[in-house]
Amino acid sequence: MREIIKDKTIVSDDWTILRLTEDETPDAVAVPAGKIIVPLKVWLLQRESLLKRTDLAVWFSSDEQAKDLKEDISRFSMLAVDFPKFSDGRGYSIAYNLRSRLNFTGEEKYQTSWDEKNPLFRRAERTGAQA
Amino acid sequence: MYRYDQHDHQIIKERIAQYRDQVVRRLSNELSEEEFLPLRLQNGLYNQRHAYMLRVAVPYGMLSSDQMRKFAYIARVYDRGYGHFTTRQNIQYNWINLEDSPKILEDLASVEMHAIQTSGNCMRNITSDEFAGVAADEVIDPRPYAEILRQWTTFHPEFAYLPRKFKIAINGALEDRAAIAVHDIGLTVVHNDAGEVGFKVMVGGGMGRTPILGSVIREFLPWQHVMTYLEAILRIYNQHGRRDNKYKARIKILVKAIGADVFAKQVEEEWADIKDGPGTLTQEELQRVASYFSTPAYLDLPASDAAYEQHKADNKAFANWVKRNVKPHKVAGYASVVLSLKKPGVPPGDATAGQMDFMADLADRYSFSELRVTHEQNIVLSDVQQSALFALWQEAKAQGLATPNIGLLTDMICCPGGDFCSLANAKSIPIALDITDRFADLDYLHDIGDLELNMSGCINACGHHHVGNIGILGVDKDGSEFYQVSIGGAQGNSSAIGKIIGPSFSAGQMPEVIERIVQVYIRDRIENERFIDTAQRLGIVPFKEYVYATPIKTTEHHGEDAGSVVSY
Repeated sequence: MREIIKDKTIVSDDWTILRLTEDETPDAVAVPAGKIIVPLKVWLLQRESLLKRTDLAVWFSSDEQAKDLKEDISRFSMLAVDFPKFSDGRGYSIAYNLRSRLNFTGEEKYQTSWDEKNPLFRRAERTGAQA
Repeated sequence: MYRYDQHDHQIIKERIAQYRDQVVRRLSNELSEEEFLPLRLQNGLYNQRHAYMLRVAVPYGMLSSDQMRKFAYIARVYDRGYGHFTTRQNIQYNWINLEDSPKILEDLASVEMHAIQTSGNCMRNITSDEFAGVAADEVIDPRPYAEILRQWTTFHPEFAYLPRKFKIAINGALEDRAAIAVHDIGLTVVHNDAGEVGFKVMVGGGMGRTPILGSVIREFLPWQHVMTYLEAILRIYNQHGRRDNKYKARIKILVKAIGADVFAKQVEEEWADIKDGPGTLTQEELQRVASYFSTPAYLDLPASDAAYEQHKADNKAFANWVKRNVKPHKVAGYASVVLSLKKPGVPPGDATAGQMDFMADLADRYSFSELRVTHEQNIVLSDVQQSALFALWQEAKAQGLATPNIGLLTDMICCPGGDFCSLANAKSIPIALDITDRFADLDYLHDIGDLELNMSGCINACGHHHVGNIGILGVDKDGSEFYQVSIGGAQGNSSAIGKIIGPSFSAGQMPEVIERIVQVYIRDRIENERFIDTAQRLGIVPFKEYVYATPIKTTEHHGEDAGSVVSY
């Protein structure tokens, strides 16, 4: 289990992020059982079969738009926004739109693949994300 | 002027603590330079050719005398005894040690200053008219709005990692002195037909590699909506501005690509959703901020002072200075004074620690303890009694701050160039000094009259060369430094981008090139025509023909190349 910063403390996290490998495609990739954060594209393309799952969350890549999840947003208790690099600030606008435009009231989480997490954590806190 | 409240103090204090820790971790190699880079840039620290450079924000150019004294102190203690005032109305120090930087930020915080957002792809210091609040042609004082936007832009959680840097300028006078047309957003405070206050909103201007004048996307935006409307612009830019190529990442490229009308429509749609939301400015909040910019205790003075008029008549040097460096004031018996940082032999915009202390003293004695930095890299004392001008002139002259050249050819805008900056293709300061040398004759200089000469050491255009009446751009040609010359650029109400006259020149040729351009103007000008009028009337052809007609002599250089006549 990974450790994350949530509500200013380090806790273990039982969610698993699904990232596609080069060989996988969003319409065909198998979504494992358990608490999985799936890419937005996977959710949109496999929606019919995934609708029955209640343990899923969705993550946005920085070039995606919050409004693409508009129909389904109330289904989720947690959504994640991906920051591919420190200097890509599009995720903050995605987060704003999720909260303010689409009235998402669940948990928001920022995820990254780089190391210097401290500044992002502070920023997450200031932009209304919990983790 | 604005004073920090508890929130301002708190966030600055927290940021310094955070940065201090980052510096410690960098010095112990816990952070690599790559990891540290974005962290130091957020705090205004650049790594330049020889040393670190620290850029300190001067919000819309306004300074108290205490702040200016702190600048002097920092120059003396941490730098080599001087600082450089910039075209964003900021100051930068060129010789800073990394270890000292947290302490400098603490010193700055003690006078309510910082270096946050003076670098990086975020909203930079808001710039404005250096005569805001005092200009004779002012419609509405832009400073309360500039301060509100300063607060709104500072640590904005959503817009801290934009595709590229973002610059906002605001003007409230008839004549635009804030170069709003070459900003990402240029605001003009205006009245509508009903007499209500609002903003004309211009977007997508900029210089650099692709110079573009901004487009008006809204003729009248009621003042209450300034933050939500700007938020709409920034959100569209944050999501749709290009991030694949830093040279195409400014908002001007986005606006140009989709068209200003389409962009305007997108902004309106985005704005419709957030209009009247929590970001709406209230009368109460505007009043609260405006109260920091209340009118100082002006005396009831006659419009004209007899002794002052007498000095002007008796003393030609004083009269010359008044003509160029003293500006009209909206209050009878007062004037604004521009202290020139363009003395021959000194890099444009540089001031020594001694001069900074001295200017602070002048402000205390003559001008309600306030100063302004101009985007043309001079310093303004905004509220001087006419009757005190002669004494002030004598004092300023003794400190090398009364060169009577404001608006003249030698009042150049100039970036630090290749002497300091690691981006530069070419040096700019020695060329500026060579040209200033060539035009040392004051009578000649005054006869030439208004002429804006702007120079940048590279395409990033920190020296605003695109909008110089004469623009000089340093370029790299097969590893050597050369200079491209453009003519006909202008800032202000009739902004224009200059046109390049032809192949570039060596450094040593530049004084002669400028001399020849001026000769064409003198030859062809119609009475009372300024250089820019002649240049725009004639186009570049006569200048080009004359400049390239015969071989161009080279001149000796300043600086480390002094004594040589060889091209760099």
